[in-house]
Amino acid sequence: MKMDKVKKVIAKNSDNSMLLLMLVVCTALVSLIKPGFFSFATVQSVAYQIPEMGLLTVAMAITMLVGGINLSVIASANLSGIIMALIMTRYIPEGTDNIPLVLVAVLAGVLVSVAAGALNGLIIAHFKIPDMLATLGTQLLFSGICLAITRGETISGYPDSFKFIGNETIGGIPTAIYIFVLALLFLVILLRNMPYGPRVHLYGSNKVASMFSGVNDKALIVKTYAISGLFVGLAAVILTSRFNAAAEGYASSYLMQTILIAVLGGVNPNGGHGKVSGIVLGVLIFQVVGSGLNILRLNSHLTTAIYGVILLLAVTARMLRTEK
Amino acid sequence: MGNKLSYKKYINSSEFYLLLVDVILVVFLSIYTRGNFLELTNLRSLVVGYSALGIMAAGVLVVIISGGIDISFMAIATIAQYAMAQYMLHLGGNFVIIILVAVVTGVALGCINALLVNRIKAPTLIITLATMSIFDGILLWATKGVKLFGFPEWFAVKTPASIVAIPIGFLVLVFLLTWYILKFTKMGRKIYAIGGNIEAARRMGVNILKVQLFVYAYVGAIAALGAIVQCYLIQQVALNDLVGNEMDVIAMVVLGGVALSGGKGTVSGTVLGMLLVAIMSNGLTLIGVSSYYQDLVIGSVILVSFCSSGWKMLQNAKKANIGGKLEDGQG
Amino acid sequence: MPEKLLEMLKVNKHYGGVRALKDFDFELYDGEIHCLVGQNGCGKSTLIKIISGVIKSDEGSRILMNGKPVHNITAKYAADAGIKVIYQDLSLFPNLTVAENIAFNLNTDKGAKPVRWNEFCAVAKSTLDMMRVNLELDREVSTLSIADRQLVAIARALATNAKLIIMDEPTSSLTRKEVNVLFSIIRDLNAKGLTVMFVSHKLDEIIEIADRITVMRDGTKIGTFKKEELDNAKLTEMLSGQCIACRQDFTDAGEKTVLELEGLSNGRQYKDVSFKLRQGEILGVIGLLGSGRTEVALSLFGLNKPDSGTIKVDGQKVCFKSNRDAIKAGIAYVPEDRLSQGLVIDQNVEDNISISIIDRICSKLGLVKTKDRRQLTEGWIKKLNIKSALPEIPASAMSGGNQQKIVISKWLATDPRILILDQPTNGIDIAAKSAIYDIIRELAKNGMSIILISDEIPEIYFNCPRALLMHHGRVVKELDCRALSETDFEREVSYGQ
Repeated sequence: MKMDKVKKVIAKNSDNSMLLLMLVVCTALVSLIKPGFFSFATVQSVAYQIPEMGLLTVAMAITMLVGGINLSVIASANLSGIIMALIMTRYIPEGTDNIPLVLVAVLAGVLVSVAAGALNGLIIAHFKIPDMLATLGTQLLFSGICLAITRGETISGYPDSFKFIGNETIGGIPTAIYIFVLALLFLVILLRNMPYGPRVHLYGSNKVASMFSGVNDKALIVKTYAISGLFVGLAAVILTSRFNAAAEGYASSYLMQTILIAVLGGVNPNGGHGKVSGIVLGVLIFQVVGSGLNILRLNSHLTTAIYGVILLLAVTARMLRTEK
Repeated sequence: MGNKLSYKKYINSSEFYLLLVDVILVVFLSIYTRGNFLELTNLRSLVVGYSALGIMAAGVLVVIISGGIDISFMAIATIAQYAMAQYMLHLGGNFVIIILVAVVTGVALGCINALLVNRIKAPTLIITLATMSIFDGILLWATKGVKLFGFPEWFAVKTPASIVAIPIGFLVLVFLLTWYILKFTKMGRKIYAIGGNIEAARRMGVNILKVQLFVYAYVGAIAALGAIVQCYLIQQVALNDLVGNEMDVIAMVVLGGVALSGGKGTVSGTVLGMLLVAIMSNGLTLIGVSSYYQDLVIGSVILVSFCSSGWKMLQNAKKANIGGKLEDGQG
Repeated sequence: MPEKLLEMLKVNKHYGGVRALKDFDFELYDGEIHCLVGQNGCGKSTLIKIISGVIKSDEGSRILMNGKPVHNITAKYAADAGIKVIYQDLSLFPNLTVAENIAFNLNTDKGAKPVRWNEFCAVAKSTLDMMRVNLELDREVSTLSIADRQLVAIARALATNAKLIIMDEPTSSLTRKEVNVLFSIIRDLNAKGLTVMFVSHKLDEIIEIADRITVMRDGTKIGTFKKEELDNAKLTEMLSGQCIACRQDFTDAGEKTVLELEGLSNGRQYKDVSFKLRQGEILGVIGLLGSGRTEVALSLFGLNKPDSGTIKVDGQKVCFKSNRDAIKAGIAYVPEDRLSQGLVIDQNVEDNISISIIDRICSKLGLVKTKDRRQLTEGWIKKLNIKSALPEIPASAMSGGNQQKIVISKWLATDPRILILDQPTNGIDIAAKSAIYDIIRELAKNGMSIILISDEIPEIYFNCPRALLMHHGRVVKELDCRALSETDFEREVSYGQ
């Protein structure tokens, strides 16, 4: 009886079991290449990068759940970062600190990205523009706004309290991780314990049947893209803090990577399926692989190409698994 | 009968509105810039700036009609450009040969896309996003970003006229070829068919793989042609030149009135879309809008036009209202 | 002795664990009109797909064409052999014009590259003329009505050299007049040597047109008969294997009028529809697809805003802006197409059942009470006897009948006062059908008002004391099923169309 139950649990989480296995294998491989990889120091340095990738991936993944995609995540992250940077550099003289104002800046940045997300949602839901087109258009719009504001320059010079977010630790764990974990908690509650979760899954799988069942598709889409924007904003806070600079065009290679991680983590790009735990495992695997490639001193371009190959493998694997 | 649109239909179509917008834009700019817009030097810079992209738009049009999308075309174009340039520098040749080299490269890479799209049941956006990274990554790594120049004599721009004539020549040829293929060949019909209802096409005995091979090879080949023109115009190959301008090309095609789900689209629409993007960008510069604001303006215009065409489609659907309200599920 | 065009021996086909065809033997003679009869799910579609080369039969099956054994029928082989299938979903290209659709295979047949548009139009026109049908050649098919689309699909099959045309439920949306036209065309072509295989579940049409009839049930052949050997009663018995719902079991409706429609009209869909629905009543609506019955139902459900007329629920005038308003008002609609409109097939049972009322089982903080939700799901599984259903398994794992029960559970969970069922037993086996009828009757006994829409005569006759006949968007007649005999009812319905 117990064996059956265990089998059931494993089967139910077969996706995650496989990802866990992959993670272990990758970590082992990298440890072989560089002994001492799995040390506290390396784990900590990898841990710095996880939150921003993770949050951006979630931002992408949640729109994929609903059967769409958000190609404007990076551009709106940049915009959000720029707004925050502007407020801070304009009102906080260099070298000083002003925590309440920093909080205001952060809030403003997040609000901007939520608004950007909601704009995406409105365009897609009310004008029935395909998600790909709408977010390509808003991507252009947001980068345009970024460029117009910054005129190509970088804005840097942030107060220490802001820099703390991306660069310091609390109890040995990077501050950003706490933000990431809290955000994930919010996401889990949203998807598991609120009406939003089932609605998103059903709508992503079958729009027509969901609408027949009374799901308010327009509200759902706007909500989804706004939530995506929320995660983008949180990512922007961490990114801006880590880079200590904000400009147009940053992190543009991240876009493909977020899609890669989402698909790797089990999110179905056609909608309806995806787990938070899978995404987390996906981010971890990605970071480990990335670190490994880094250690091998692989050219960054080649790394990009390899990511492309991994994405293809990930979609193929997903297809094979669902066809079984 | 059949394929001819009656005048009445055309006037009501969105292509007509696009034509109007283009005309109004031209008139407005000519007046506002006191004729500077229409001056030969400006028109020349218009051609130089946008002919390569316009050529590529013809290829992208075909992919979108088939129901897919290919965003790796720019990366393919760059690789083709690089291959062609290296050939010229080391093996000489002539115009015909280098066109062949570039096109073959484009076709080969396009076929890779086609095979992947055919075998992997994932959105073509994601598949071509992956191949774009692969192509781009390998190219940049292998070439270490080196610039190529110093091409043989026969490749140089001979006369001021040829800097306009060659690109326009290619443009016209490519558009005519695309128009012909779409309208008058079996393959063209099959491309529309697959875009409209791929399952029905399969049942009708259409070899889906063959059509996809054609489509993705075509966009690869056309992108390569665009890359040749680009190289000719600036007489150098810089690997970061083209990449990043995918959005402009896609905008040209989408503004020209394709359905992203496939099955609809015309060459004439793409031409008008190309003109719109080119004239708009050029016009903004002429008016004196700083380049920092141009993206913003163009992005806004694109969004507004998407929304208005989306709005129009919704209104039309409400008017027609055949067979119930929800989706196409009752067809 | 006519030639055997097609012979199938011991053909089997598995789909996963399900056997769609079991040791199926079949003969088709050259130049005959052969009808394939069976309920949905009996294996008709599988058989057609094998003959037309879309899918492969299992190992050990033997197929002969014109006497020659064929190892594997591919789509191309079938096309070359002149086998044309007109599928139920028509498989048209909505983005192409009528002419382009009809002539589609014309230009892909010929080797020449250039497409000759004049030839297209000429072929299309001549085919349509032969069918005595008038359609604009350059209209996009997506703008056509469903009935017109079916005509285009038929024209397409006729346009190129065809030896065998297989039609899968071709008359589902044709009026009696159009069916007559179709049949005369079929007879015409048959006289010229075309073999026709006609798949249908409409018994009277089958008996009218067929030379021979093969009856299928659950993947096996019950038998092949000549037209003279069968009649309606024999056929029904063979199809169902048992006598279902053979008796009327009506409860009297209450006095209160829960729903009233007055002069409801909506463009070309329906005009001037008026009727009353009383509490605890099961009102039947019978009419072909295209008669407006689904459109009226959608309007009642808030998904199809009518142009004019009124809808009154419990005496109060209502104006629904969306189906959410209708659900709040106590109206529920079980849609026609279970797979794409009723269920989300790859999500689990619990999500499917609870989706419409999920915000009713939330705590004050907005969190879903998972325990209540589970209880709700398990409650409905038990109440409607949805066998082999567990809350966490995907809906795709269940049979058609159980899937429909899940859809019904979802709507019953919304606690409706008016339940509209649109073709609820489409594609469901006999036992499940009977179970659903029992559910419906029980609901009515307990005071729910039900509108049952169907084009199956027995379904309406045995469940509804009163039925409205709709045709071309109007309510043509009101029939009293208590007073009429089954044959009379049938006649009223057939001739009213």
